[in-house]
Amino acid sequence: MLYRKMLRELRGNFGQFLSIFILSMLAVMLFASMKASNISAYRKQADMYRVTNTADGWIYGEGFGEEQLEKIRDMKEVGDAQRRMHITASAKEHDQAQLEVYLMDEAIVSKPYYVSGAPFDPSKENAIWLSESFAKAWDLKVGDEFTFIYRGLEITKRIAGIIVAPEWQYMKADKDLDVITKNICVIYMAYREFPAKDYVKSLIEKGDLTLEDAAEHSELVRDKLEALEKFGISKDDVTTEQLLKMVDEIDEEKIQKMLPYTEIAFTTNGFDVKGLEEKISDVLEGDYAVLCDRSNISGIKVMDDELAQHDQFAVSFPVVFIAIALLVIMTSMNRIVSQQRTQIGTLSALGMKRGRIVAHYLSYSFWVSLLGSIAGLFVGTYLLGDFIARIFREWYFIPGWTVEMDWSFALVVVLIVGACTGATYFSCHKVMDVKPAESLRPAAPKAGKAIFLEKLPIWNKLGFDAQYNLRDVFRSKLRALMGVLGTAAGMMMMVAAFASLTTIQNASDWTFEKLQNFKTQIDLDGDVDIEQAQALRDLVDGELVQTVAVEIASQEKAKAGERKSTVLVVTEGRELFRLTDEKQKLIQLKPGTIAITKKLAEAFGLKVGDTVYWHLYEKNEWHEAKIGTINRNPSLQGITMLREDFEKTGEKYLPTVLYTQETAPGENVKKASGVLAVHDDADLHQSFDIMMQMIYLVLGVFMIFATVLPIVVLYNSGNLSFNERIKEFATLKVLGFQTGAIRRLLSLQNLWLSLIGIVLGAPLGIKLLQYMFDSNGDSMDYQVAAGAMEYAVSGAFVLVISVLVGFLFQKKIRKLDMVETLKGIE
Amino acid sequence: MTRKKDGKKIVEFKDVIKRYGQGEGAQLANDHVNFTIEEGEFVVILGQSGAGKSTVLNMLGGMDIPTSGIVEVAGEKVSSMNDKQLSKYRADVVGFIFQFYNLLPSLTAYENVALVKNIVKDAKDPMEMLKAVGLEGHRNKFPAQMSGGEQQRVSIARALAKDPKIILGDEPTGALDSETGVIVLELLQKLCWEQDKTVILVTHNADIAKCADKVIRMKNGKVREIRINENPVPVREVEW
Repeated sequence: MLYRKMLRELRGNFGQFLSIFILSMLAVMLFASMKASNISAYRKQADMYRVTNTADGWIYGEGFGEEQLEKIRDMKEVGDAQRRMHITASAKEHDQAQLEVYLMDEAIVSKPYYVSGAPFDPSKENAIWLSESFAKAWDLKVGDEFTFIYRGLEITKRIAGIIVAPEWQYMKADKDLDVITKNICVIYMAYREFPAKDYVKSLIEKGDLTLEDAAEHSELVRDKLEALEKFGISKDDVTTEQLLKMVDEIDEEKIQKMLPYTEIAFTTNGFDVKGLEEKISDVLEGDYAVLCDRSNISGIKVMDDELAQHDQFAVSFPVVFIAIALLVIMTSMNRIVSQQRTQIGTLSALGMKRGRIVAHYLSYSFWVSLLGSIAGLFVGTYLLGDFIARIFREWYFIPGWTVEMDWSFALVVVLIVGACTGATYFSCHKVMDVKPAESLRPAAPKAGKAIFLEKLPIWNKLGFDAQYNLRDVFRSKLRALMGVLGTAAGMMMMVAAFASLTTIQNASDWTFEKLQNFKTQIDLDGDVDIEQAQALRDLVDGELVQTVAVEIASQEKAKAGERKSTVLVVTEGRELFRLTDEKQKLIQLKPGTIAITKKLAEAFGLKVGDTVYWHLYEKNEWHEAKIGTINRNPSLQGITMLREDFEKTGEKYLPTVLYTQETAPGENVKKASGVLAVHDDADLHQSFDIMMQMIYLVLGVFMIFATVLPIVVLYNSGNLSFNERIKEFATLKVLGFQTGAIRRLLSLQNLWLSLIGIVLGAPLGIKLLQYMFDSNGDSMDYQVAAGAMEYAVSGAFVLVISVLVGFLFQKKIRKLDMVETLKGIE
Repeated sequence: MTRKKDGKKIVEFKDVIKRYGQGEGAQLANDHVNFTIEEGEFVVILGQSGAGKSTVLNMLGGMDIPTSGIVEVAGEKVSSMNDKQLSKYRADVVGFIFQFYNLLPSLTAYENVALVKNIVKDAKDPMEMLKAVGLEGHRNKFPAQMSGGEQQRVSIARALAKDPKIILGDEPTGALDSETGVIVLELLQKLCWEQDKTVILVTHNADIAKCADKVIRMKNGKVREIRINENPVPVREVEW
């Protein structure tokens, strides 16, 4: 019987229970949507790591021999290890896309994840394996020929397989600010397939490879030199021509053995990679540059940061909804139970046990929140979660990433249903504790009393509407709190959504109008001849810039954990690549000093005048530099120095880009030797345009929530307010108040609560956005910005909802049966 | 005491039928009700529970409309008014006194009376009205801080503040002890006799009928008797 009573009363209080249903659904939905895609991502990532035997650690250096590899393999902490060479090339016929090429003759550690065609097999001839995302973007198929250019060498191979690179779950081209799949690709190829002889000859011709270098890395060369010395010829007597001839005479296979391996990738037997640094250093006798773990590999780190961000969101967003749902439940159930006071007394008088009655009332919110949670679980996982996974698959590459559930979903449902039921108990137990004889009599109506505001002189100037509503707010504080929090949350989301547009626009203006004082970016070959590069620079009146990976530290001989991998930008100080301070004001680099980005400086606790220690990623030698200024850049964190200072350290200046204000450099520039790609203004803006699209999507989702929240909460607050004051409204109606006047009276309170919510929610929106941008990882440093317009539009939006919700009561008030309402005992 | 009236008609019920519900379950609350009330009369509608007297009062008060027939008050056809017109009618023509006072609990005595200013343009001074019911000293009290009789007097002050053409009371003494009830009734009678207000009360208490100019007795939805009381008794003189 009580079950039927419950069902009928659920129907009778449909609005309120629908609110509870929606709120618990939204809470679980938000959790599930973020979590479901994350769980799948983690699982599929783990699967990929297992199948590909993805490395735990990477050792970079100028070259590793077989002996060194064996020593690493012999370490008891190390599972598997293999050497490989990593080069960056560009595609010949595909917009000069950036290609990250791995040359390896073994497939033990960090193998590519095979998607279609043949799995990676280094013994296969004339074959390459390339990224699925790139193949899709360019419609490349297994069996197609593919040509790429490395240091002027043209290499053509046949695509043997389509793969996903476990170390490149996130990849973007250096020129891009965001992922554009047609601009970046990972390629795996057998080292043997690399045209070694041609390559070595080109190095010798450019003076990049001397006999001495060769002897250091190759036994064959050392043997040859020894043989020559017997004839009284020293290595200094050998000319470039003779060296080239010598190379010509060596067969390809032997030259292959001379090629350097710049990386050792290894797995550990469950040991922390950074903890092995001392041992590795001992084993390699210090002959390496950097030891990295997965957190240093940006293709993994960015993905992991993203997932960690979703994990955070999965908890923090639902909390807001649950907090509001609990308020709705407490206020609604309190009203329902209070209204049923005499019924409770009757049941009690009939001899029903208190526990049974309590259980009956708890069952209302139990069932409603359970149904809401379960609906949220499925909608969140299979609709929203799937949608999120689908979007993020455009940015990140993990094979098979969809949505999955785990035990935490059940836990969240239990927690939410528990909290809702608990809140009901909390709000009802007082009524339940009243003695039956007492509860058979109706409770005295809530007495009005003077509020503190009445002492203020302004009180008497307030109209009836204001005085009446103010007293009512103070009579029902919890209900008012619910209204305020609901609108504040709605406002928070609206401001965050609108401000994100402004923030991205601000970053775009900052980048294109202040930082980038150029119209065209010309990518240069990594080892372009400096004379050639300078000639090119003079031709287009540009500025050469080198961007290179470095490790920095704030103290000498810093341990692995105290260093950070970042970027060094070397400029010629010609003001095409510019720096700004925190306030986006242009600043200039002082000779003899470096600039460090704000976020990085803060991470190290560095300030102007302090010393920074740095070394090139692939070189072992550390340098020091004095901080001359702290700069800020939305998408590039690192240190910047002038070319003259860089060259003073003894490092070779190898410009990677040439910036110019010319909008359309001629064919002579595009076809010049050493030029990899030319990007025009539209090309450079592309990433921002894509980012804007993403933001529009976020805006849409936020707007949905920002609409639903105030509607649910204000409707509920209005409904409660209406029901609590129904007799009063009926009286007013009898006295001659028009329906519209009563609706305005009711709406006025919601309007106030909304206004307070708007004022509170506005700064929270900025905080939320900053939190969201900050959780994007170290490489971004956006200045969250919102103008008066964003606040005004968001506020107006919430207010309009508030006013519209008021109209929902118009009909209720018109239909209010005065006779029926005022009948009966009080 | 004999009261002289000018005979100007203010209320007329013409063949009024009020039916609640439809089909077999329909209930006939008023069955061909006919009566008139003159200006300045003190009228008591008498009857047992379910006689249909409250239905009459609700229609008079513009809170309900008849199923058929005509209800005319002060020259206006209440029976054919729409929602908006009814609101205006309630505001301008009638003052309602409830059995359970129906004061707004979050407003003080003074504010409950002053509330009327939001409804009618030339509302009377709330303080004057409170004085008229002898509650000037209670102006800042909330309903919960007053006795039932005091609350009912505030309710009367509220009704008076609108300066209505007729005052309607639905068992206005029903929730009061006899002592307090007498004070309230005396007040109403005084309004009628001294200020020439038309007062219509619904009650099942036959004693009250002794004080009325006209008694309309109802039973089963029908008017059984309309009696003119040539010599209405002052409230104080009735044995309660």
